[in-house]
Amino acid sequence: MVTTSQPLFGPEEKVLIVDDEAGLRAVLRRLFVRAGLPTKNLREAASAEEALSLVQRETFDLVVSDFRMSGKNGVDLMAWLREHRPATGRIIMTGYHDTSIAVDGLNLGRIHGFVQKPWDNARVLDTVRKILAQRRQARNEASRDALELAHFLHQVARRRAAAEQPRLGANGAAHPTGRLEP
Amino acid sequence: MSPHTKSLDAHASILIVDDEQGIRSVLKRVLLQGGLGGPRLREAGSGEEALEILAKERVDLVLTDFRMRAKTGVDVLAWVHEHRPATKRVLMTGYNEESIAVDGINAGRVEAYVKKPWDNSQLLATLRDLLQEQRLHALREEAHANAMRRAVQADPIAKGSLRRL
Repeated sequence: MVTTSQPLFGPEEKVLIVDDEAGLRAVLRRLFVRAGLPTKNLREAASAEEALSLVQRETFDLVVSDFRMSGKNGVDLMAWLREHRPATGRIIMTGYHDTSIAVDGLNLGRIHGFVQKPWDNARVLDTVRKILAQRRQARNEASRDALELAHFLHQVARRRAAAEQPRLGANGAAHPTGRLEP
Repeated sequence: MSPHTKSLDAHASILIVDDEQGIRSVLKRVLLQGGLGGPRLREAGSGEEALEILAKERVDLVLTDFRMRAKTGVDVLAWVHEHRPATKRVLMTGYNEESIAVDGINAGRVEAYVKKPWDNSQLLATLRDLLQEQRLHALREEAHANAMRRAVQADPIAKGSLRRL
């Protein structure tokens, strides 16, 4: 059982559930909502095609998809995500004996998690937690780098301005309009 | 494939982990003939030995068998995922051991899975792709570090505002 006190889902993290069985979507939805996912951050799709149109309009932190669906399957969806939305966490769910799907999911869709039905709630949540935590960490590192660089550039700009200042002051009287010297 | 990429592949540091000496030599030959690894191709005969190497040296890619005495390939890759996240992870298993892939994904965050007996050209293509990704990642990191270093050189006073240098 998960014991960490940190919430599983961040307030802005969005999840997409893909399954052609409405009942399974509902069970998964309930599991995630009970684990703290705000319903406004949860979307559902009944097919890979529907999911593909959703992921092109919105950004998701995690997509959990069944493998076996009519039309495109879950691995097709994951392969598309891997190519076009590589930062999105990818989990495939499938029946117990479908382990060859795991291989395809991995080699074609570079999935981050694989859940076998019937699943164990605690394990599903644990898998989700690890994937989201890793994504958060990567995001934090990227924004820390950007912040650090922005902070640095700001300092440089300030120093440059400070270095210009005395010169302006000395010549200030000669330039009552306050215009800067070229 | 450009000659440039080829030479980069030849300088990649790859670690082959398998407790069967025979498999290691075959893999080594396939990789070398495919232009992968070159002088920085390493091998380990157990998970423990692999971890020792990984703790000391920079490795770009680990290609490990699953079934070994004591530590398994998934144990090795789970350690790599946790401690050397930039290192690429490939798991191999025997025929009919596909269920291991599930564990490999969830516990070892494996990035590619290869079934024995493998197809040489497919194996090489998989490894080349991963090495390319690894290089892109390393380049991004390096570019960032360089930008910071240059900025500090341009204005040493501002150095105090940087935590990481």
